[in-house]
Amino acid sequence: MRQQTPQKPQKPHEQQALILAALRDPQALPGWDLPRWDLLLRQLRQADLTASLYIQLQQRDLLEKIPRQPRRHLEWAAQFARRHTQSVLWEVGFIRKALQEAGVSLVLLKGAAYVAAALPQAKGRIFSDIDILVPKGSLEMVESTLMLYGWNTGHHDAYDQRYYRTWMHELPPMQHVKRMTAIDVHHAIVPVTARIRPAPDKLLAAAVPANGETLDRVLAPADMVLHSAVHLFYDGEYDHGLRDLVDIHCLLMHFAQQPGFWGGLVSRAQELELARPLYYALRYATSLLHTPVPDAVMRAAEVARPHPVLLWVMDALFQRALLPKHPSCDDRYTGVARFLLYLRANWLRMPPVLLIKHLFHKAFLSPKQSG
Amino acid sequence: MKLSALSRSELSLRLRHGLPLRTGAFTFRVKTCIPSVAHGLSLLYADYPLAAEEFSDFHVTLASPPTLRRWFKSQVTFRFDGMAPFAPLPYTQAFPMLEWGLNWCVSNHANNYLIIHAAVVEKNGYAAILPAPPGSGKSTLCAALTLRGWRLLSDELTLIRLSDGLIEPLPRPISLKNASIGVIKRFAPAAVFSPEVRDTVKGTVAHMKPGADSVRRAALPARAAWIVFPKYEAGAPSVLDTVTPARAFMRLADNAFNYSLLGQQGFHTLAGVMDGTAAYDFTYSVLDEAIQVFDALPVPA
Amino acid sequence: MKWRAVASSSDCVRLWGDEYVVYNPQSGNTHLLGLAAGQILQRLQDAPLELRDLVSLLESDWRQVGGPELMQEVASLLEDMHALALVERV
Repeated sequence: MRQQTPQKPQKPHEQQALILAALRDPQALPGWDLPRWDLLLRQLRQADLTASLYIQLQQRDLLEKIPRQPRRHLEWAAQFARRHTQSVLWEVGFIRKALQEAGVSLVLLKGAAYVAAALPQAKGRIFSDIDILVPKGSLEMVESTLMLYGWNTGHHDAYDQRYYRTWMHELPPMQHVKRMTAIDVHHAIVPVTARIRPAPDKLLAAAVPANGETLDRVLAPADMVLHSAVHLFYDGEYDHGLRDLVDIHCLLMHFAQQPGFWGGLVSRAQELELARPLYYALRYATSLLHTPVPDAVMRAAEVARPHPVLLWVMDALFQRALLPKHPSCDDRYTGVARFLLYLRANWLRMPPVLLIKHLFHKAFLSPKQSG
Repeated sequence: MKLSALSRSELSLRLRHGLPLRTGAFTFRVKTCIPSVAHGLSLLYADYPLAAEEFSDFHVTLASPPTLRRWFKSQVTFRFDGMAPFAPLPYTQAFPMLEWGLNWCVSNHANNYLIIHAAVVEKNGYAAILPAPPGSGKSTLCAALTLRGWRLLSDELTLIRLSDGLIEPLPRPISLKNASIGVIKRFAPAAVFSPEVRDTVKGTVAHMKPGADSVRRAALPARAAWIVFPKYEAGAPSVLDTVTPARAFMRLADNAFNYSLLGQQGFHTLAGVMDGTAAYDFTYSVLDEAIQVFDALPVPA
Repeated sequence: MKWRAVASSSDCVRLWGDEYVVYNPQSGNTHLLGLAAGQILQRLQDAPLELRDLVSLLESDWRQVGGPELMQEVASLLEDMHALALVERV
């Protein structure tokens, strides 16, 4: 009997782009065959986007049309995400109480903000920590109050403590002793040592109510987009790069409905010194996810376009690093691309002398830590 | 087509590329070059159907990491689509590692079931769930029951469907350890076992092939009628003690992998199970006596 | 000052014999409660109540007059359930 060797579903380039094809055109997914679904689910899982795709399909009333075998996997992830939202809301209640005690109003960032503001993308979004923004002057008070309510700074060596407190834009991550939940307290959205200075007090001043039921606040729409952009394009960790880009895409799609959003986006970016990350965000959201950004906005954002050679390099790096970390999405340069972006992120965060000291310490002196 | 239709060399070749295998409601694509895994599969999974190539729920591989270590004291790593949920183990433990890995895949993902860490067996349309922490003798009792007329639904993962509260079978080889291997071999000399693997974290481990009938009827769900918390105690007479539904509920929730994850649905599903079952603590020492007790369990109203 | 149940739906309360199992949809936690605590919870799900009114209702449920000891016991149970986030003050 002739041996059946399994066939790969399609050519390597198509495989790489499979998850992008799905995200760009969820409408076409009911027509996908099982081998494509098999690979898509694996890329989605690596990218932490399974629940997100479930929500996209649910919003378009397409779930029932998805074949049963892959649909199950989407439902499994959605259940996980539902539970996650429930526990985030519960946890935010505890944080709110602690901050009230400290006399500081609660401003939520990132995933917790999406949940609190009930943004459509929130239902599919899993994240491990809750991020908040507080005025730098309140940091000590906030930290001691959180400790009073059961959060602990955890085991960070003296070097890490200094790294976070002196140079970065946040306290070392804190974990609650009983609930084991984690909170990141930020006083800025980029490190103190970085070359750009998006003024935190401007962000705080512009913060808006998350919903009608609590006093919790979130960043204003443009600021939320810009924060997401600087987080993605200034951070060195691209394990969730595509998920973060999808966040930006969903934020843009959602706020596009608000009058004045597109008109004010680029000028706000310039005001906060975030025009370059915004340029990258719009560039890669349109090229990878086909986000419908108005031409006028794209043209206005081009003012922050880097030198053509640099842009060519950035394209080569980001178009690889933003894909999921899955063998079917890699080519021979993907590993190098991720490494170079890691170096770049550290370069952006710190002046050269500090950077060298930091990398040396991390490589040779730091006790083994979980990432 | 069943796995038994493949010759050993065909099996090894297909495993090299990834063999799609169906176990109950789940399909696995198993990829490995390790001979002991191929051997274990050919022995214990002979009756299992091969699945279609086009889609597998879980892609798993077992391989030796490509380090110098492979030339002495070599190891094996289990990967789920490239991700390794466990630390590597000694090479000789490859087949048990596969079994633990397949369980891990189901218990970490299948959120349309409330998944209890328990054995479950069925007779005459009614199922008995045997939750138990390690060392309670659950697997020994489960193995013995399946050798005396009870259908094996699962020896490790009880899957309760959220949609209707029925138990979804997942019959797979029964994992036995240390003394119970010998006990069951004497109990049923004709039973088929994988080779014993020593020095695992659980001691000496071997897997018993489930009856062909259990595998054949894997698509037939069953209704839970009894929850029996077993406890082996040397020399003890067989004693059944009633457990109240509320306390049984809390103990089952404690023994579940995803009760908390399922939120309100988990609560309702488990409450439904308690409505339809009677719960007992069960102490025993003699297998034949224990089986008689199970055979005589009163059918709930 | 009144007490009320955090989760208003009786969907998440089950009674078998003398024991209650209760699910709190906000915390995601599940609790085993004795008869008294379970009945208190059900009363507070029906409507928010002051301690005094709650105790009178319970006295008529249980067909007994309790006096100050009963009031104290109920107050103590309410504190326990408050710590579990099953009831809250309004």
